[in-house]
Amino acid sequence: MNHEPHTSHEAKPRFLTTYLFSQDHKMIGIQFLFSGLIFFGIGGLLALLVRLQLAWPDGNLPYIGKWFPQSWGGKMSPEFYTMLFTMHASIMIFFVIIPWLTGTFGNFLIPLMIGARDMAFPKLNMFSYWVMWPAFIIILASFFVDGGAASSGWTSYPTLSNVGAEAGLEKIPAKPGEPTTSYTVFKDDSFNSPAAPGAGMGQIFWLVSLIFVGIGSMMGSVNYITTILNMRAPGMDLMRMPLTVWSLFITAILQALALPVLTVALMLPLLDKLIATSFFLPPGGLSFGNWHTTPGGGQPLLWQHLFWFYSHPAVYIMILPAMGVVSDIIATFARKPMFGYKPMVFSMAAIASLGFIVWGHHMFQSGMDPRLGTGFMLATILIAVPSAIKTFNWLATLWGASILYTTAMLNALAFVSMFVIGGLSGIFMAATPVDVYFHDTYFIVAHIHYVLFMSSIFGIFAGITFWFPKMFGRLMNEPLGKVHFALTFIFGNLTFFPMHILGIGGHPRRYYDPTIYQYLENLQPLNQFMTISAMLLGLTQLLFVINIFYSLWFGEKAGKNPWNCNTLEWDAPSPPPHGNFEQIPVVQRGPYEYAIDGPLDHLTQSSPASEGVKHHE
Amino acid sequence: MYRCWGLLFAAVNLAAIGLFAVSPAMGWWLPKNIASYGADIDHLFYLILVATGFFFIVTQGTLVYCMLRFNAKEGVKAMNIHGNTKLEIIWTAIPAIILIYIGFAQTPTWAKMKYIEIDTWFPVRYKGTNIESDLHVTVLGRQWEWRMRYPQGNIPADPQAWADLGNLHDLHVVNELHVWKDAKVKIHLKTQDVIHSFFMPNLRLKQDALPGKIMPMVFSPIEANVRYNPTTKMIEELNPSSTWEIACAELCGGNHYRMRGKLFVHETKQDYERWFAETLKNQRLHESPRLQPIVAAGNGGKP
Ligand code: HEM
Ligand SMILES: [Cu+2]
Ligand SMILES: [Cu+2]
Repeated sequence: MNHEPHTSHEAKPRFLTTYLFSQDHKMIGIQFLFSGLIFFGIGGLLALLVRLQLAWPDGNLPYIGKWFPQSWGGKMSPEFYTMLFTMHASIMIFFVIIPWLTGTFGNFLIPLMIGARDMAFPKLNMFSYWVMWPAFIIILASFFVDGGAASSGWTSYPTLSNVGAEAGLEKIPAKPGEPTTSYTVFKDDSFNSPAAPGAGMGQIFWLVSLIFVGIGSMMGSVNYITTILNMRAPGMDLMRMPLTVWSLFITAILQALALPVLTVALMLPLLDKLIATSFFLPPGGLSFGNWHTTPGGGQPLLWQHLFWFYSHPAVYIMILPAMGVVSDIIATFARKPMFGYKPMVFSMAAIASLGFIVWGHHMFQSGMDPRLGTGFMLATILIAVPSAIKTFNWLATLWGASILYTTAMLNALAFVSMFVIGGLSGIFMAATPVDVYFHDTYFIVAHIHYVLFMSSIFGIFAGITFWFPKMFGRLMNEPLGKVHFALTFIFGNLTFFPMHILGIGGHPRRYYDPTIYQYLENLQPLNQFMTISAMLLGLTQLLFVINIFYSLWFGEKAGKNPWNCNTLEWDAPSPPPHGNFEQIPVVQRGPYEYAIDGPLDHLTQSSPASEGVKHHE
Repeated sequence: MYRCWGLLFAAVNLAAIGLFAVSPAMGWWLPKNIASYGADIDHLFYLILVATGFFFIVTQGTLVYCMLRFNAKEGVKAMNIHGNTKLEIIWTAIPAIILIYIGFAQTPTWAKMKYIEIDTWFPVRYKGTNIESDLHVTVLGRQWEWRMRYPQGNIPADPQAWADLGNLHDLHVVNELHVWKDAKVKIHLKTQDVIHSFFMPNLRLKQDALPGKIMPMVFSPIEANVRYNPTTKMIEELNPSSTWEIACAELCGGNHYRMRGKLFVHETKQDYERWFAETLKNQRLHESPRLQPIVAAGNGGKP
């Protein structure tokens, strides 16, 4: 377990091996950080275009209108709109949140926090980042293919997404007075789809890109599991691991079990499109206007089961690491031991395991047997219990604390507050009869954004601010960080909270123009209000980017342990060299020894036992 | 200075509560319910609203209190507590009990909506397709419209076969669902291309149409909104604010948002039948004998 210090880093590092083809877990984490940042920008711009359309659905857009083809008449087309929200969600989920949480935090933190010199498989780790690049390139290229990028939603339900044109029959238009019963074999080898323009080549690119993401995450998760199980420093028992490491460990297990299902599932529509396998084409075939598919033998519902069997665990992949990060940050700045360390670990494990049996709650209206709905409803309701336990433990940690309001702490506190909202809205939708009404309305959109933007992203902001000094040796700018936090908190809520109300009003999601419905008419002012808030929210994020780049070069120099935190990464220099530690630390105690009796305020995990007068175990 | 953070959190949470408080008055709320089981759903919604509202206030209140009260002070250490088993048990049990209550409180409504027969809460028996109805309608979703098909005499001899194949004497209407007050309606929902979802907000009802399958939907409206005027041959709304719409709730391509239909609930069965007879007569006049109404021609609802 005790590795020899690497000698390779004595050799003069070259640019390519240091920054690009690095096998150092820290550099790989940083690579994930910056590529995520680029996609955060792209995904954000897509979201703003979605909002623009929703607020002024029939107005010609000033300035932007000019970019659209003449034939659209200065507005975006409905197909373009469906592409926007599809790519927004796909990019934010698969190229921002998951890479930031598992890629950045997983890579950077796991070896440092368990006192290892690197990952168990450094080369595999490098590949896990570099298979992301084909994914990056393909997903970006998909915007420029014939028919535009994927546009069947991030969920890509067949038969909208899987029908290809290469195997169908075209009706010969009727001559006057003749029945329309003759067909020719439809000849089209362009991969266009009769279902939607974006369901052709764009969809194929989408599928291939996500397969690469799946392979990359798979490599990452195998590496994390092995590293955590085998490479912990002496004395680092499992029950002494910081909650961040626990959360990343459980996430990696989730990923290892669920992701292969998605990766294989993605192959099925791909085969449907490329070689007409008809996994999702029903026996009777389909007809799109004059165009008929061949009869199939498949079942569209199969995709939903496979997709949600992955994607429900995936939503926990998208929040568990943030929960871990937030727990550590709250304990550090509350200067107080984590309340209920064991319940926190067990509740994460409970969330992860229950997470495998609740996927049907996305399918209450899908045509699944309604009796099955009851089972999924009960499991879903139960998953709110561990979520509640975590919330109460965070609050108990804050009770009687000695809170330091750093930027990282504020973002972590926002996580707690916003996660409560996201979790509570989940209960409405878990109730099957209520979900009949709320399913596919803005209520879901509100829920998603409270758990993913207002929780996970706040957790990510907290984590980046907190570990920035360890990554780069400099602190992020605190005043700028606080302004960014306050504005994000305000504009984020102004943008996303009214979505609950829209949902209660019955506003469906993914609508290009809701104003053609009478019952939605008086919700339109809310739509406009949310769009303006979203624009301001988007602008606010520039402050974060500015802060990162400013602090990279001009930030205040950080010592080893700027936050007086207990975990092992703060024993290493900032930034840690290749190999991380001068000497592998020996762990004496758990990570949350704050507010101890005696002259010291806290005891790091590695400081010798004699330093503290006494401490609780 | 540190106080401003607690106050910011308090302000945002109060604004959230405020929005929920003013929304009903602004008309930003549930549309009027007209379903027989709709009151049960709304009741459940309010039950969950109260339960979640309670937890919202307790947790956010505690958070704000901690933020205001427990800021770092010179020379004062935080409490050294690592946990408390009794507390953990209490705050596991209380939400668990409330949630399980919410879980069981909803099964009867779900059963009622889906026409599942329940003994206790479990095992559930599926009553399925042979449920008694006064009116059968087949709704076919396609890009991008709803095609309704009504049988003569309201109840076909073999509903399942009829939903599948149709009958030469059926009435075909696009985007208009006609039923009558208190009728037990059974919809056979189909699609010929992609998944659509038949959503009637006023009936609190939504069902995906699955390619290759016929999905049942059962409901009974408790209020009427139209009357058929035999002299003008027009549908008249009973009052100007009672337009009830049908929407598509599952992404089905670019014009997903355009699958707008209308729900007409006639005052009586006789009124519905007058409308049916008159409309069918019109259809026969215009129908060329060879035109098979089931076979879709042209490019559908494409604008
Ligand atoms: C208290 C815990 C939660 C409960 C009870 C819950 C329940 C639900 C239910 C029932 C749905 C399906 C609604 C529908 O489509 O009709 C849903 C959707 C969703 N949930 Fe949750 N949820 C919880 C927590 C979370 C968390 C922590 C995340 C992510 C970090 C999350 C992410 C999502 C997403 C992304 C969707 C929408 C997927 C889509 O249709 O696009 N949920 N949730
Ligand atoms: Cu889920
Ligand atoms: Cu649709």
